[in-house]
Amino acid sequence: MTEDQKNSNSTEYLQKFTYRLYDGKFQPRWMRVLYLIRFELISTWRKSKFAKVLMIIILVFSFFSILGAAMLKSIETDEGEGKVVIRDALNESIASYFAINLSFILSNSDGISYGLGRGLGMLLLIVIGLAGSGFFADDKHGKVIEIYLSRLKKREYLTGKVGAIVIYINILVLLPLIITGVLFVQSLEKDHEKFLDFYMGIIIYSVLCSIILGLFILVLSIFGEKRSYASLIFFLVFLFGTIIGQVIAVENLDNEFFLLISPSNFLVLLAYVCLGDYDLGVWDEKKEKYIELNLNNGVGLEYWHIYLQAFLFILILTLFLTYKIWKTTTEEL
Amino acid sequence: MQNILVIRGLVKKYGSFPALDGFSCDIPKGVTGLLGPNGAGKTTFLRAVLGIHPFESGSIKFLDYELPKNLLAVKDKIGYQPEVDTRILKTSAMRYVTHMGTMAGLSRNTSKQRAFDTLHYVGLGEARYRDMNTFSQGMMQKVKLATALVHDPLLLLLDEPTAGCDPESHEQILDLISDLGNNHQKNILISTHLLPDIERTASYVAVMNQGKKVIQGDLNTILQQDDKIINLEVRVNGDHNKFAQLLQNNGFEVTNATEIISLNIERDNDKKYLSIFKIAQNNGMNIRMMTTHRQSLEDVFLNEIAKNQMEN
Repeated sequence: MTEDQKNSNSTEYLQKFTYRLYDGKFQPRWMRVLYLIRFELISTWRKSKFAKVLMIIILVFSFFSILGAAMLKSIETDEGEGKVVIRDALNESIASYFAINLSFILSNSDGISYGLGRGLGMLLLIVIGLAGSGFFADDKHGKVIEIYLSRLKKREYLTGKVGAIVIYINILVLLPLIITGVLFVQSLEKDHEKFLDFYMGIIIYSVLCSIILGLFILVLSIFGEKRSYASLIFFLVFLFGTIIGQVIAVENLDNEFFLLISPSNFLVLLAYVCLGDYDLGVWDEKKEKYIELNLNNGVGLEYWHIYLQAFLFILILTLFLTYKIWKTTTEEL
Repeated sequence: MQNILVIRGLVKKYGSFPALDGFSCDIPKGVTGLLGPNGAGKTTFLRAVLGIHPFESGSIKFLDYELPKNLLAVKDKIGYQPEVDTRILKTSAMRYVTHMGTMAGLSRNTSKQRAFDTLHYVGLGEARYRDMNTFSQGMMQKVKLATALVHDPLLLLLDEPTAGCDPESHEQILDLISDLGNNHQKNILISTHLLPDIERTASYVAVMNQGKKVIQGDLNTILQQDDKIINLEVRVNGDHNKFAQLLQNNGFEVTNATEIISLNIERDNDKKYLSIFKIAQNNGMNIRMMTTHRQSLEDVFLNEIAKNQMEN
């Protein structure tokens, strides 16, 4: 007996289960987008054991940041210098999450780094690359785009996918950062209400970061033949982009705009800007020299340049995605 | 009979290649077979109805809805079974059909219930929690049919619904299509290369070639139709070679002279019929069988495609 024969025996099932009509209600169209987001989130989370393990590792390591707070307690006061140091340390602990420091340190504190979780977010890039690369590549491979588009508008399909990856990355980025921030403030025995702008800054940074990283991996996923290529390119672009960007930046430290070439530096700067911290500096490890970087002095690189770059990234990546989904070939369906 | 689809002058090009070249056709309610050789434009047409590939010019009317103006309303009323196997990694048939139900506008709970019902209906009740990636071709075709049915559409578009099936699954799917069309009044448009499947399930046929309609009509009418000449099959007791020679000597066009002699004859020429009996009688033979050869859909299909290609 074939497998099909075992599962169903000729007309037996026709007699047993007749076709049933449906005369109930249909959901509004936006609900379908929510269902697609939900489905993608659950599928991605289920598929990625690595992400679960990594989240635990990141959360455990994030607690080391609180050790920094203990060190700060010895110098903290509610007034003047002490207050600034605490806020700088808090901002740095968030901003240094995606930092890769090869030849210089971009920070807000005169060469002193409190960010004990520095670069921990780099581990997340592996998870984001692996998970996000399958969003379109798996649909293409499984030939389900045609089925989706027979039920959804292209815009709805795209919104569902973008929504899912942004929420997924946001959970991965925001959760450790917000926990670190809250525990940091708690360990200093400060009033949380006085740090609401700090928490809001974390949320804005996390959302912007998720949108940029999410759109980038989706573009690679929709253009790539296989998910493995997309995830590899994602990681290589970040890694080599950072190496090359930092080499260029370190040779041209007098021109602040070169700092934006490195993806890692860009995310660090974006974090500081979102947290409202514009008074930064670059510590050149080779020359052991500190160069001031003020993002709100009307000279050179300004905070709005960083927002502009983020906006341009989002715009260009969205246009790429939209173009590709509208021009989907018959072979890709 | 009211048409469920009225298509006029549909044009869709891939680059400079016209996949649909002014295609016009009326699809009535009931089960219709859409036939055509590879590259005829069948799948492109189905995708144009669903708005997956927008068409450049022409019009499609689905009941009272105009396309592409009312595309969203039309999408909700159509269930589509694509030709290719559709799979989502590490997903059971139940989860897949439920998900596609929600994509068609059902609430999650309703979709779960409908997925359960339709998977049982297509005969996959026992296998519904198995990973789809372990399914055979026949089972995959059933999952796709259940997916197309989950939101109880008015029109089913089935693209090669039995492709790759083993004989058992093939029969079951044809049973399901017949059941849906005859007992549940579903409107079904089946695009396939398998002409016997159409003969078995459809009551109406549309044939297309090179992006254009070649012929359309009621299946019985199409099979009976021919020009003034019909093909007659005759069997005699005696030497059939000699009888074939006698017929040829008397001006008959004999196309086959084996045990069953085939000859072409004018449809309404009674004298010619009688003369066949006379020839037999005069030569001491008896006619044991005389019948008109019923064309198969394949004959019609091949003839019409050949005619169409000659015209082009």
